[in-house]
Amino acid sequence: MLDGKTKTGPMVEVVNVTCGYGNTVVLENVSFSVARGEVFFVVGRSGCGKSTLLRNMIGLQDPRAGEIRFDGQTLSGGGQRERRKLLRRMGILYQSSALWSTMTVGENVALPLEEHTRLTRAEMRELVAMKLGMVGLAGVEGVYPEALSGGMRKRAALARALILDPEILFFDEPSAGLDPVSARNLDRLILQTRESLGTTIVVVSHDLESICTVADRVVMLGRDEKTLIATGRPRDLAGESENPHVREFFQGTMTQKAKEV
Amino acid sequence: MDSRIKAEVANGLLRVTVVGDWPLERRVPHWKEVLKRIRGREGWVKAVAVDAGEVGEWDTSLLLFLIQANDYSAKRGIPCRMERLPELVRQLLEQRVGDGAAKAAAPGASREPFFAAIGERFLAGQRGLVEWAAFLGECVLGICRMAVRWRKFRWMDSFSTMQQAGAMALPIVGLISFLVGLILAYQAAIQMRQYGAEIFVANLVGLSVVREMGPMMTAVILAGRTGAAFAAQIGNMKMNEEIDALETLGIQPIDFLVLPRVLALLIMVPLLTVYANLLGVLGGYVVGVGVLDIAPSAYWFQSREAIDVNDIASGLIKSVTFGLVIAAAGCMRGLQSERSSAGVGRAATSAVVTAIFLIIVLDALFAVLFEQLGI
Ligand SMILES: Nc1ncnc2c1ncn2[C@@H]1O[C@H](COP(=O)(O)OP(=O)(O)OP(=O)(O)O)[C@@H](O)[C@H]1O
Ligand SMILES: [Mg+2]
Repeated sequence: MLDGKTKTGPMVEVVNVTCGYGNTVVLENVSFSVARGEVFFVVGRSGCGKSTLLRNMIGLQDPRAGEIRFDGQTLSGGGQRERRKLLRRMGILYQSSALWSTMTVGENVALPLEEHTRLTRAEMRELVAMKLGMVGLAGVEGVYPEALSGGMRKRAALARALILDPEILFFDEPSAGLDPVSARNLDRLILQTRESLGTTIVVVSHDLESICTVADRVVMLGRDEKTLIATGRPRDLAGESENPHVREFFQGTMTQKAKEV
Repeated sequence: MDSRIKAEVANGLLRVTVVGDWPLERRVPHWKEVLKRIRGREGWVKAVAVDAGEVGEWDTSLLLFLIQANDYSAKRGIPCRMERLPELVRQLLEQRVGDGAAKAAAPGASREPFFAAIGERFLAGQRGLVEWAAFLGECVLGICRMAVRWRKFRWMDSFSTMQQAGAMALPIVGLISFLVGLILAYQAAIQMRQYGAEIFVANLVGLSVVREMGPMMTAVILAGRTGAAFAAQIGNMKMNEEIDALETLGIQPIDFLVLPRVLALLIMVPLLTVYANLLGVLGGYVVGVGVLDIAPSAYWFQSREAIDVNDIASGLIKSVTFGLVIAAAGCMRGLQSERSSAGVGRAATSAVVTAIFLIIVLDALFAVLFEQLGI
């Protein structure tokens, strides 16, 4: 964790990645890199392959071609042991929260600890309570996920993603299904996590508001182009991209901002 | 004949006027009715005009009719003019004409030739075998991993599955076994009475229950009860990305979900079989003593004479493999399930069908094997 800051080079490198399902190719020749401590957004229209790219990045699918490197290592390159070590450094917040429904919230948050550490029960309980407190869910350890609201589930899942102090966090549509206030709170939580732990954060989203307020850098995927159509800071993309799709996408942002004012 | 359409042919022009209200709840007139009215004169038609100027309340049903008019004239290659359409209808119709063109461009799904279908089936069967082999291989690897890291084994999950699949199944397994014993005894009694050999009902019931019916009925009940539950649970977890969450934590779903369930059934199915055997024999006993007037001690003695330890053991050996098959089929189908509620339903169905099929096949194999070994 701490040595993450002293190391140099990008945290994540995506090199000429092609991915898809069965016979269909969803994305081709995608390349970008994410610097340490960066809040990096992957955006694009619905169905352009954001979730697919994320699944490839976290090792649920192997890219058809190209490589995805974390700190210079690939998930599929080494053996099981290396893979586990690398996975241990990642935290993932799934779109549907993906809390294990047969376990209580406390057990959910504790499972990564059980799997990857040798802490005692009491120490685990302490850590779980702490992380749940951090996301504003103190005292729900004994509750089953089904008894939580969608927003609470998302926060519980965030506590689970944060429990191992990951160096890199992945979010799939964190604000989908949340009310605007909860969505902004989540944005704040994202920034807070980066401030306090120096975590690198990769977010898949089409929430324009989040993109403008939290993103350091954005890549945009094109549905028809099947690859990256823009990279840069959100401000720059909104104003001066030559691609009409990019401008259209970010124009939505600007008008929304204007409405607020 | 619907009074809401009027059709007339003049100078090669088919004029259709629609009037009145067009709600979807009423039967929507079909374009064929127009053709029926102009029967005999259809060949003269060189153009179609539909006039909707006097239409009353309308909804999509009007659109449906206009689309038919459009398609008809497109098929005959004659012009079709729409007159005085409500603005919204005109827009919807234009949109649909655009879609229709796109649909025509897309290749339609053609029916598979007969032999290709057979080939497909054969290949699917082959894939199924490969899947089973891969799954069992994964399980063996999982067992090896667990042998090293046995502390990480989910014992509690295994125990709760044992309770769910075992203890909770006692009433239904007991009832069905008892009734099966009863039925067997009645059937045997009809035959045996002819020879005045009612006492052999005890042999027949005892042996059939312990060697065949006990293990088989228990396995079939558990396939329906527990195998389906496994598939549905795991399929749902897959739909909800819970399996992905396990994998990205470096946990193999095999270790976490499958092995505890397999272990639970490996233990519970033989135990339930013992219980089923007892109740099956009890069913026979009730008929023998209550209906056939066999002395209780005689029935008991005859049963003990008839049933060998080998018989019980052969039933139990089978039941262990049945337990494995039920758990494996349930978990495998769950893990293969598609990410939709229909997919989960199919997974549960398929788990039960697969398990029962394999149970019967295994039972047949065991029958031959035990015969050869003389057990
Ligand atoms: N399991 C699958 N099998 C086959 N094709 C898939 C599968 N999942 C997604 N696709 C296809 O891949 C493409 C990209 O899907 P993906 O879910 O990555 O989109 P997305 O950018 O995340 O969209 P959204 O913003 O709506 O979540 C879509 O065209 C979709 O039809
Ligand atoms: Mg998505």
